[in-house]
Amino acid sequence: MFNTLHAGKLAVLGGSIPLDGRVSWVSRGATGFQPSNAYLLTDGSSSLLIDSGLAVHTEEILDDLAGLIGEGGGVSIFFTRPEMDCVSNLEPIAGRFDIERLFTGGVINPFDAFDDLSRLALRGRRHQIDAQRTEEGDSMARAAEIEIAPGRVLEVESPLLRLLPTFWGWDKETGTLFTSDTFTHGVMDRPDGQRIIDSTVEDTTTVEQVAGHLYAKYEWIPRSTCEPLREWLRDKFDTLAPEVIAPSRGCVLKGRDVVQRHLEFMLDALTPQLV
Amino acid sequence: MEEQLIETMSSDLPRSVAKGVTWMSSCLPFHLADRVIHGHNSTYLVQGEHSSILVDTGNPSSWPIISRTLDALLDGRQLTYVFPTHPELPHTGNLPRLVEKYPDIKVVGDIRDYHLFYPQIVPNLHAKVPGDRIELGGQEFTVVEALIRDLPNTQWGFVPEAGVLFTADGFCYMHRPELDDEDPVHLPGECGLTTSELREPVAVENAAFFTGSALYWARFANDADAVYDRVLHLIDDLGVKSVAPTHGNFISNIRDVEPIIRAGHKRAYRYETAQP
Ligand SMILES: [Fe+2]
Ligand SMILES: [Fe+2]
Ligand SMILES: [Zn+2]
Ligand SMILES: [Zn+2]
Repeated sequence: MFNTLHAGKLAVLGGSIPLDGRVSWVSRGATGFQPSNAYLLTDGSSSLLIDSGLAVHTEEILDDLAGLIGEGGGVSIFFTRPEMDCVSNLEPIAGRFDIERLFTGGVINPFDAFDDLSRLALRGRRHQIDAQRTEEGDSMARAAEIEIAPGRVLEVESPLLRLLPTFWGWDKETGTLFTSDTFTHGVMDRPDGQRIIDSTVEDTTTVEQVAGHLYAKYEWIPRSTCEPLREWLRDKFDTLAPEVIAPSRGCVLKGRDVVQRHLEFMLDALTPQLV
Repeated sequence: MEEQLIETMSSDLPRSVAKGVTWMSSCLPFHLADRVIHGHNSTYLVQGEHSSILVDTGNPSSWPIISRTLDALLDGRQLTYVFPTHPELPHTGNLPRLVEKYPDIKVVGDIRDYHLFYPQIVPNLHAKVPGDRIELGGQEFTVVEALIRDLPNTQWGFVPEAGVLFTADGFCYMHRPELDDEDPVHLPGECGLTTSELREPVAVENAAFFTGSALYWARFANDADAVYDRVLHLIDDLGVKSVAPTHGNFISNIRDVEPIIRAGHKRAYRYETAQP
């Protein structure tokens, strides 16, 4: 079942997965349940889906989507990464809804996963969001804008802190920063637990937990020059002052105080000698 | 004009590169401001007397060619194993198609996460750890720890009989094919050549370009020497004769190529002055 983050504007969809030793992106021995998230930005009759969740959650995602945009409705999609935890449900979504536009970066075209006929039909819907990427490949300062509806845009940027080609999204209207595979550390003790950490929830997160999740995927962080990453991150949060951090997995972090606390955790995790 | 839906494939491939090892590939053009360079997206088939293993699966868009090539090479036999080095589309995107074509196939390797991405292939998944061996008949496939990787659930493989080390995204580089004005990205060119057959050695800049984008972390971690020293140690220990990366020509002269890849990896590091 989806959760509304901002009425009429933003919802989070998806299921949760058991951390049972079969998941590579959490530290060994991690337990509990991790939400897998897709986000639906809506404005009137327009909607933009950010990521599509895991194949193991196809039914929940599709049913939730039908509830939100209507059976067979039109939807645009933006992928924060061309990785399987983000793109898995593209084909089933295409089978049940009308994919109006698909925004992706990097060299992988997710429509390549379709058979020739469907690929042909969908080819013109893809928009490359990093067309002017440089060979240097550093973060792009607000390089692209995706129009959700007239007057409402999602600003897209390639973050300095990333593993594979990755994009963050910024929805000014709801103050939400979509951080893809960082800030993924919020887990639940039950599969149907509280998916959102806000001021009403007792937040037991520790810096060790944040570092554990970060280093599980970004295993190079502890042996890296992290100062530019911290600077970039602090600057990003200073500039945007987000109300919500919306990662593609892990709990949603909601409210200024919660966001600030988790930013500090992340900055400390990016100072490996402190952890 | 009918748009080509299939990736550019090298007409020089498939090609046998060592005992029982066939290099299958597509090579994709990358258009940079001043030049066109190619990036391989290879798969390798290792065949023994009774079994066979496919290393990486290729992109879904090249499935028709991969499927046809497998038909020709397997000559009526079933593909026994597939070893996806890590779950990125160019490496694993054809897993569902392979399981459909060969229902009894065993998917071997570090199979964490695959149950979430491909629930329909769960019965085919068989976890392996470094040191595990797979018997193919007069030929063996050994799972090796990946010493250069992007995703943490990456593994390398080694075939002792043939002396071939499969390194996934390790030892990858773009190559600049022999350009022909009329047919700038197609063959004949360099796409199906081994590194000792290339007219000019691999360029450090092409190695740096690949490392900087595919192994993005190299710009923050200044430890290329430690990494490649470990790899050389592994090469000595195992008795590696040649190296088979997913994205790059088959490396037949590893001692000559390793310093170039190492130099490219070092060049990707960006924060020289920030170091104490
Ligand atoms: Fe890759
Ligand atoms: Fe990779
Ligand atoms: Zn690769
Ligand atoms: Zn080529």
